[in-house]
Amino acid sequence: MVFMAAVGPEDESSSTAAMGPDLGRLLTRSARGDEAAFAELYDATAARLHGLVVRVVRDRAQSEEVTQEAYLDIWRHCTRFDPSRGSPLAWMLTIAHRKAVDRVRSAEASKAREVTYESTTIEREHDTTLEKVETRLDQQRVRRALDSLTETQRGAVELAYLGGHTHTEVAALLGIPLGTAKTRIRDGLIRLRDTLEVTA
Amino acid sequence: MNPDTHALAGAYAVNAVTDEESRSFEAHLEVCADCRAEVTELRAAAAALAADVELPPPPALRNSVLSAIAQTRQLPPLPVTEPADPTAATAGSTGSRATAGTTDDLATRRRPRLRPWLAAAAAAAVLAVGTLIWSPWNDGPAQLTATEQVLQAPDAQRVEQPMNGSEIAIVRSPARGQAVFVADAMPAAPAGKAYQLWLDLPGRGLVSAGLIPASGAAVTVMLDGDAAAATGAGITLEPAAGSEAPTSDPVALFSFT
Repeated sequence: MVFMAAVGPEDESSSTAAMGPDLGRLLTRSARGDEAAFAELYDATAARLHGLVVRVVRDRAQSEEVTQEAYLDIWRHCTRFDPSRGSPLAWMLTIAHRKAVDRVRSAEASKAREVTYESTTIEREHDTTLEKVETRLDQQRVRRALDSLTETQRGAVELAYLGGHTHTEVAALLGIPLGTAKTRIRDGLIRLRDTLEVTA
Repeated sequence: MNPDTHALAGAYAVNAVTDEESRSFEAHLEVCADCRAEVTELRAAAAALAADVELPPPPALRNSVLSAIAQTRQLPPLPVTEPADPTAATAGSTGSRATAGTTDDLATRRRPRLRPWLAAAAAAAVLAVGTLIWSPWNDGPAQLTATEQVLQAPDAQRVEQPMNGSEIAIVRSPARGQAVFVADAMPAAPAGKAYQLWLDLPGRGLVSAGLIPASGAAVTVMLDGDAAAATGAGITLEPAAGSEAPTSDPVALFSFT
């Protein structure tokens, strides 16, 4: 029975350590059509997903649309969530990220966006956001992990993930060869993984 | 293994690849368990970065999401959980039109559309979606974009048209209720204009399905609206902001029935 297979173990992902509710259980209940469970799931994750979407999309009105689309997708597909492919939160964030990236790329296809490396903007927004949110254990861990990256790795990873850029764009933005951008993104993520001790 | 291919695992994990690179890397993933594991781990690592950018959405979004899900049917669970079932790898890609339309359980829960669909073949070239990768490990939503899910849907129907020497197509999944417009090289619209997509809905006529992003290149865009109910689709040239109703003759028509 597939539903049973989808019942994840307690979510042990480091990124959800401070998230409170058992997201795996909420997803499983949601998969059975339990709207109240989905509401709980939303409450537990909305700031995380929406923050990521806003970071990539920037435009608030569009971000809200993308966040809603992401939750609708999660609702439709939670019947197929497979815990062997990652934690519930990582799965949900992957969906939201993909939606956000799709949105900015389709918008950019219509009008080539002027691209500049906004490292100062990134840092400023980063700090403002942090002031607003309750400091959490996992955020501290993430910052420590980010500090373990070399500056060049961190720049490449942030442009790719938080900026929603392709590795080709990252190379152009940083003025580095294509292969180098690819390597930096991968090496940076590997170091993050190892520092966070993320287990899939 | 080509080290270049393997090096793409990081960029792929954070969606930092083009659709084309994504497809080619997914072909590699089918045969490389190491890369599959790495992508999963790197996705989890990247997800941790989102902890640093938290931002609660406006309260109204909650109601909006919850009322939307109340009206949205969930997908049935996948019948097979084996992640590496080789038969699943070909089910979507080798099926003939007949099997794609009649044997899949998703399709059979819907009105059969094969007969009217074949009737339309005289007006438009109709092809099965035969070249898409149906990667067995990768059939979940975490790895597929919304448009890819339509393109790779078991019941996907593809209606193609030539346009200015290139090829455009609408791929529709009745089971998903969605349709995707694809073009290898979409001609750019004249200045101040845009190509707009329309769905022909019974009782409502042509309803806007969104604008096609201006381009001289490949385009993949999801149509807005209920593609399951639509009997056809069309494209017109409209002012850049789009129109409520078509203001010019269609440059392309696609018949679903």
